[in-house]
Amino acid sequence: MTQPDPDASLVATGSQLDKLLEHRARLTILVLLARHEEVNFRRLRDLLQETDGNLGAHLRRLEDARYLQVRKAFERRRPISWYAITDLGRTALTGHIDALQALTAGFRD
Amino acid sequence: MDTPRSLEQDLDYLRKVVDRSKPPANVRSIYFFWALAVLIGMPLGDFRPEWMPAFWMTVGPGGWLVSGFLGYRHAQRTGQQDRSLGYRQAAHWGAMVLIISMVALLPYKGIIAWEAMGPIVLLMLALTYCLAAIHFGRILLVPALMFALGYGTLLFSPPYPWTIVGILGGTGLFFSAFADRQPHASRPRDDAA
Repeated sequence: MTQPDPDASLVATGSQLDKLLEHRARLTILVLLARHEEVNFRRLRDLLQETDGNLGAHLRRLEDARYLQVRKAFERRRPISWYAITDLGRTALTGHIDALQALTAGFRD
Repeated sequence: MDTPRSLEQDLDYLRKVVDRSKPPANVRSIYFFWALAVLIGMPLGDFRPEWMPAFWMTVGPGGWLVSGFLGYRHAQRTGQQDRSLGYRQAAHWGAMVLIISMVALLPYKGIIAWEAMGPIVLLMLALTYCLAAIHFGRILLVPALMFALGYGTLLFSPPYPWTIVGILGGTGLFFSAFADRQPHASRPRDDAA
């Protein structure tokens, strides 16, 4: 009887990772939104220590994938964007973290 | 696919950001509000005892509403809304206000003497802050300890006991306001999104 190839198993687990969440900033944005109901752009920028341009690009990609939703509000006549995770985003995050856990367990074995 | 080292670095980055996003045990303006209320309201027991029930029956429930508003305003300013935490805070402190209001009915019905109300309320405050320290942040143990000391003060009846209680409670709350880590409230400006 042949033994299962551990490398092949790792590659299979790796393929279950969500490509969009492989970037640490996008993964962190979704984790933050899963922990806190709504976070605005300024707070995300301060927490992640990203530039406005980079953060905006990451948020747009997540929004295009419908992983998060945006609510526009005004504070002292200035626009504020509040972000919240969607059900689809939460499912993607859970799947990605499960795959990460399986992958790190595979590296340890 | 990521290598274990880069994966480790990414997870370390994620952990640090999540740690930075942890909300404080309480909002600084709420600590200040209650410190001021305690510093004014408790010494009434020495100087104007007849005003004390009316003061606390107004400031207790009213302060609960003010605290809710201050918490909401803080969330708006810092840019992070934790509604479930807000509801838990409101339920925790609301239950305290409700229970103390119900205990205040006991001397009206003649079940306990008016003199017993002070120590009972201070014990309840100490217990509520102690539970808050368990659920929201350890810094709240300081006011819990101060209110417990206030209970001891009333038992031994030194001169001006309520003034001492006010100073103890107010100091505990002021200390917590400065010691509790608070997220930076950034100034409003156009966001790039």
